[in-house]
Amino acid sequence: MNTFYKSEERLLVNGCLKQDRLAQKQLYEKYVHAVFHTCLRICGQETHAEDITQEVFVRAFNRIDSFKGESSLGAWIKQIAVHASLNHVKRYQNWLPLTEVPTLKEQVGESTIPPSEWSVHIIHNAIQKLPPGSRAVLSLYLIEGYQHKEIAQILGISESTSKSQYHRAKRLLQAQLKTNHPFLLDMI
Amino acid sequence: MQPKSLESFVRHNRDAFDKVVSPPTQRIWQQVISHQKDKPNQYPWGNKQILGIAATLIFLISLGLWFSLNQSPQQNNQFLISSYFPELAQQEHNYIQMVNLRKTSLQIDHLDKKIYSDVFQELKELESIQKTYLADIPSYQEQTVLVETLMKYYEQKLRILERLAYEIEKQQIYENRTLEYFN
Repeated sequence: MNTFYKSEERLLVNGCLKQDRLAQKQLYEKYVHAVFHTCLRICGQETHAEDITQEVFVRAFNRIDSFKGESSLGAWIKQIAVHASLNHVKRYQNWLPLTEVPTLKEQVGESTIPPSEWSVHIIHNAIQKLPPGSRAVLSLYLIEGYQHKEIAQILGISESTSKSQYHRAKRLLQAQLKTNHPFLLDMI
Repeated sequence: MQPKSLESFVRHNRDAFDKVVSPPTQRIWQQVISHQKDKPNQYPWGNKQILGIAATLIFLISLGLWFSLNQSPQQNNQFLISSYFPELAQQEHNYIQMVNLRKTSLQIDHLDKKIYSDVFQELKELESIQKTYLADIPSYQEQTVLVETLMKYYEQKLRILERLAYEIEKQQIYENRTLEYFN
């Protein structure tokens, strides 16, 4: 096992390997919000996100021996969350095969929006309304920080499809924001 | 909102996107530990021993199934929470009634189990876990937690049945489209 990972993480992992309930609870509390929101962004429904979050932690505790410290513990759990959520979406929601879509040139501008909890809520809700496939690509790229190459591998699509789907998702998101919350434009 | 500003805004406020909703952390944790209970994640035994244990378990499960199939309905009450906690009888009865009503409306016995195999498998697993935990109630120390989780299983079962309804609806739309295409 690669020993080069944070000592706090190592303690948590060692505790979980011994099925120490306290260590499991600490790990759970540390990542539950991130996991829940990752699941929610991909599956789009809170009740489903709750079920998937539960599944993610059960799976993480059962497979903790496969964590080698090659990535951070958070990234490892997030990976489980992403896969579990995508499986769920493919199984229960109206997931259509992703195809390449023509991209439009986008306007470039710097951010001037002040950090605001209110704007975050609006954008979060708008993301939830995107079609499942586009929502998954947008969440993985923009929020989870995956590269298009990685997304292509996870979703079994080409890198160019991932890019074009991302641009499509972004356009849909902007259109939705413009229609429902035109006041956001005033903040630029 | 310009594309780049949207991206920059999300990246600058990345952490806030994990705090939009307050998940029911306590409830999820209870469900996680229920699944974790008595489930070792390491197997210090050899393969032969695991096979031996598996064979014994299969034998015991088969025996259990044979007994349960040959029991009268009254004896099956051991698979009810209210047989241990009579004060929960009404609540449990309501849940069972809702589940049965949904099953009847879906005509679950007449459905093709192969088409909806995922959902049926999930229902089967849930019912199996539910039965195991019910049998564990007398020996389990944190009975209140276990009972609470078991009650939640009824809600989970209803959610699975809702998904089944959705799958049936999708299948019907697909069949109708196929018929339209060929007619």
